[in-house]
Amino acid sequence: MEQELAIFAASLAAVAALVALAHCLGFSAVGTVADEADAREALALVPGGFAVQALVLDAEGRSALARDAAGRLAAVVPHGGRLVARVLEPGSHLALDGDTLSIASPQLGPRTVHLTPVDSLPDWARSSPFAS
Amino acid sequence: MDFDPVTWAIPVFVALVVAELLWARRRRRGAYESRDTATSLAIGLGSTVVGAVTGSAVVAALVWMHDVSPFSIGWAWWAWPLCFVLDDLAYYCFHRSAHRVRWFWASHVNHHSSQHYNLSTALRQSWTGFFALAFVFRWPLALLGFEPGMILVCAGFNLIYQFWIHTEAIGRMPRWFEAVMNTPSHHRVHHAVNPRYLDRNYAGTFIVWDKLFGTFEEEDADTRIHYGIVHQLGHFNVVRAVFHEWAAIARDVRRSPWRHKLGYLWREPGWSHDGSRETSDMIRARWERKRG
Repeated sequence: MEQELAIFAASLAAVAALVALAHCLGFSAVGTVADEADAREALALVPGGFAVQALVLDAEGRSALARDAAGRLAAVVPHGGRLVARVLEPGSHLALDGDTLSIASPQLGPRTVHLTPVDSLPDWARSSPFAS
Repeated sequence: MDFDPVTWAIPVFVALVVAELLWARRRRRGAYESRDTATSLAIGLGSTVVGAVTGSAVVAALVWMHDVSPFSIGWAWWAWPLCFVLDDLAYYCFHRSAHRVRWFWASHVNHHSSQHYNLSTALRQSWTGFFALAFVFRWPLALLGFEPGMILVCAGFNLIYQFWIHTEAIGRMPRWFEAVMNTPSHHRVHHAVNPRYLDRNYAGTFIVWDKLFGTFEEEDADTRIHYGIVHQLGHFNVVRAVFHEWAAIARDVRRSPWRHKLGYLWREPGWSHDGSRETSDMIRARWERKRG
């Protein structure tokens, strides 16, 4: 038992050291939705498929919002250094404040995602069923 | 035999993760993400605790199987390589089941839940393998007469072998090696969510099992690999990462009609009684239709 505890303590110390090293080496940077190709690649892997018809990107790469031919909306957001794409389902909420769209959705977890496009927000994003 | 090679390999695992971090800093910044690494290592650490708690039951069951077997091979030298090869075949069977039967997938999914592919990903081992009864896949070896100690040592070396193949730092190994052994290239395919790669390359040590049983897929150098699971986690919560599929199974079983409840346990991940979801075969078929 003593040996097992010693191995566990050493492993715990090694885990802490490795995570600290990863942080110190600069691996804690938050990813961005760099461009349209990035967003489309993430959307192509959405379960059930999602054929992008229109897409709008946040100017700072914080998110992207896409629409398919059926009128469904999907959001792309950074997750650590990668991207996650989610189709927005009932219960999602899009709020417009000036040029910034705030997206809250059970599919995105507890966070609210913000999107400020380089140009103006397209009509399809303003008039979505989730918009208020 | 009271020898666990995995415990002795831990310092080597740590040293190689450090080496890969330094490589990633210079050559591939995207290979690591600190929160993802923390999640992987925490899951790995937790799995060692679970292993310590459940280990004696796994050993006892293996010893019992060996005792009831009419065969006894003993500790002959030639039994070691034979046991290693057959243990790898047992691993292939387990691993294929772990991707094709949702009950086993629920236990295995956390190994795949990182969107990164590096040596820390290798340590995302299951916490619930004992509950899922994953250990039964090694029982046939004990029934064939192999010593339980020999089976467990071979299983340990199999696990150690699989550590180094979780990396993007190595492109391709020499051709003869790629032909026989599981390699970083083959295993990158296994961890990919690109439709053409789903449910391929289940091998542990020898890739020949996949070639033999028709589940092999070559890595295409022109295809950018996306790692993780079909429905990406989207969080770094260790407990949710470990148990999310079990929770999803419970939800599905509760909500489905009686005659379909078992289907959510033994059918493939993504199966649904109303066809509202996609299995990996359906995803691949959709991708092939789109590709023409």
